[in-house]
Amino acid sequence: MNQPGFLDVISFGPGGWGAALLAGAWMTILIAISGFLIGSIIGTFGAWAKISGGRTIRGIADGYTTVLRGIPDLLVIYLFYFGGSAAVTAIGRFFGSEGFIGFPGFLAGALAVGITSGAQQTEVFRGAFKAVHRGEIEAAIACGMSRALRFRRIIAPLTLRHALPGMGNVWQVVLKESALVSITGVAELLRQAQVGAGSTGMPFNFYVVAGAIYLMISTISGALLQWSERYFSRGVRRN
Amino acid sequence: MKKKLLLAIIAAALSFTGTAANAKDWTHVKVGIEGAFPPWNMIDSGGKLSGFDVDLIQDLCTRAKVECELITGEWTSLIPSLNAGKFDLVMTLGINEKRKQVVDFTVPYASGVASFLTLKDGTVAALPMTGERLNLNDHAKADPVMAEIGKELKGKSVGVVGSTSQEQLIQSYFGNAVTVRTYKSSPERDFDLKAGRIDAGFDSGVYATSMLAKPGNEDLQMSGPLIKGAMLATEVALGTRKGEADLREKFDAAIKSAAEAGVIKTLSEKWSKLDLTPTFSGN
Amino acid sequence: MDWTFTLETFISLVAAIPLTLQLAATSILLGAFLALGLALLRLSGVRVLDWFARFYVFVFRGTPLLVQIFLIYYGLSQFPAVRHTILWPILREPYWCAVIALTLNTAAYASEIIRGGLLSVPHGQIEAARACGMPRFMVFRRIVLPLALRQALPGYGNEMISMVKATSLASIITLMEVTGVAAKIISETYRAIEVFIVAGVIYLTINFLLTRLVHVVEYMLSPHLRAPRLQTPVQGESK
Repeated sequence: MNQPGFLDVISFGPGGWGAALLAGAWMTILIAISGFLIGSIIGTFGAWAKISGGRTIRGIADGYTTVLRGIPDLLVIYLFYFGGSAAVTAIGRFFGSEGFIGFPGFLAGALAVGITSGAQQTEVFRGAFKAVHRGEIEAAIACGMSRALRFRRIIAPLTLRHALPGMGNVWQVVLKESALVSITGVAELLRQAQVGAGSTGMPFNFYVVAGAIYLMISTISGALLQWSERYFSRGVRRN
Repeated sequence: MKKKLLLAIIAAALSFTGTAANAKDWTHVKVGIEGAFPPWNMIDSGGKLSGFDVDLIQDLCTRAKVECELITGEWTSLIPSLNAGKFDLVMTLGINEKRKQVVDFTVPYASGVASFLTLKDGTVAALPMTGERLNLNDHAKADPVMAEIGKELKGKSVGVVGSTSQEQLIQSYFGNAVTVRTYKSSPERDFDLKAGRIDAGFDSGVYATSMLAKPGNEDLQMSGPLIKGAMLATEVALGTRKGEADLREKFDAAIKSAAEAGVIKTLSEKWSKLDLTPTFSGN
Repeated sequence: MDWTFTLETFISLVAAIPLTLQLAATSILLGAFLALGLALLRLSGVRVLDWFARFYVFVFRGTPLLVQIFLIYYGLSQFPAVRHTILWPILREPYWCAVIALTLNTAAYASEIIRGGLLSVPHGQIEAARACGMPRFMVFRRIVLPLALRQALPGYGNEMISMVKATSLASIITLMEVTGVAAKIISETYRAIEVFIVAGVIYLTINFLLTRLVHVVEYMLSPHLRAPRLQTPVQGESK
């Protein structure tokens, strides 16, 4: 029997893995977006804690970023996947629910990716806030803006603008990190490629295609990010 | 604020999959399955599960009058996931003592063997008793054979899938003589066997038979005896969390009735060319 | 916490540290040479070489390391022809496949860091060197490279930490380094949290020491940035 050719196994026809890989790519994007958003929320709190928190809160935030910067993401995923259910079950029992509470691989993956990217985004947001000119804040005070208004109209938009390049970098990291979630069996792009490679005996084909899809996602999202950077900095004079 | 957020996340997680298993009333059963262990179970290009396990569990669930949902996962994560409540049952779980400490087993739904895999004209010379059955619990007969195999494999590398009873067997019989390499799945081990990165593999006989029948695997062969006994988990059962007696009994009954009805024979012959119907005496 | 179990885990994981360090050190060292080469290609002014280096960086930064590892380990061995080349004794070993993947990957990131360092060398320094009559290569060796390395060091330190973390992925291709052993213990005992803590502490310690080391080197390389210390000339010393 002839081995099917390179394109046969990744085609969309019968016996082709094209559709499975595309579904995997979609799952990859979902994990990456969820992880990135969770990371943004954590990053906002982290940056706030580092900038204006008291000593303990700052200490916690520093500890968090140091630890997450120093340990492999793979370990974090193992922790969430295997440890997550145990923890949630224990919490559930505390609230009076009986029995086991499941912790799906997707959630474990998104949380793990979110928590590692949260550490990076903490630093991004902190740096961006520091880049906001004192003078702009002083001008807002001079105009009589209240604290909340100042934050909403001046600090937040300016911080966001300074943070965009950094956030773009974090996004690219998150996208690649989402591949690690394959070890939990979530059917994202790399996992689908692994299953296909195992089933057809053609790992090279599948990993090349998976790599190409990752490149495509990162290129397209990179272009979008660059466009948004330009858009949000349109009032900035360049020298 | 942080506390509120945490509570919100917990609440979301609870409502997300908040099916706190109620031991009294089984209607919906989540079954964990690897999906990468043909012909027991595999995922085709359409993303659909197929295989002996898949056909059989459907029959068993009908017999047990429950609705089953199959969920795939990485092999090494299946038992932890079962104990963590992701699944209620795990398929293709070979019965052995080590696993009995962490899960409960139903009666076996299939009875198989394990065998060495080598490369034709590879680095391992023909092992003794090829194709014959060997029960390791019959020490007088088995021990000399295993010693001979050990001599043959000395200094070689043997690939097994991690967290399997085959790994435990190789470790305990030949751990000092051979290099044990543990893989995430059988196909990955076979890539390395074909590439000559390892000298031999050790896996379930059913897996080996079906793998050898596929195109592209002509270089490989089964070598040595078809082994069962000792810590080998050749008796394959469903695993449940410890103490879930209701669910276990439901499926014990379903397996026995399926075996009696000849369903296990028909399905196992369809998928593996072998009759894997277990015997329930002495259990 | 179960201290006996924690201690046993610690002992098993400590035994795996040498492999982790070996993987990291080898690939950082080899990667540095490759990175310097790539950075020089980028700055060569020859369009073909520049584009080659750009494409290399694009591919290796745009795809997950795990895909690269799978491609090199399982993908290449798919072809019988590869098994008959002189490279096979190297590609046969999971250790070298991991080293190759890590090296190629880190080179892409590090080449950008080094390029930044090279570009940061003030033009006046080069002009001064030329004025002293130094030939081109000597200017590079004695002036540009040392200054660029000093400039690139903080960024390079971060990249080294990433590499230590990245060695954890070698566990996926059967290498039993720290994460590999940790995953094995988790899958045997199902006690994710204790194992995670022990493994985490090990990685944090390695990375902490690495950070200190980079700081020391940084200090040694920047005498010109420190306030001059009063020194009495040593007799007999000639410069």
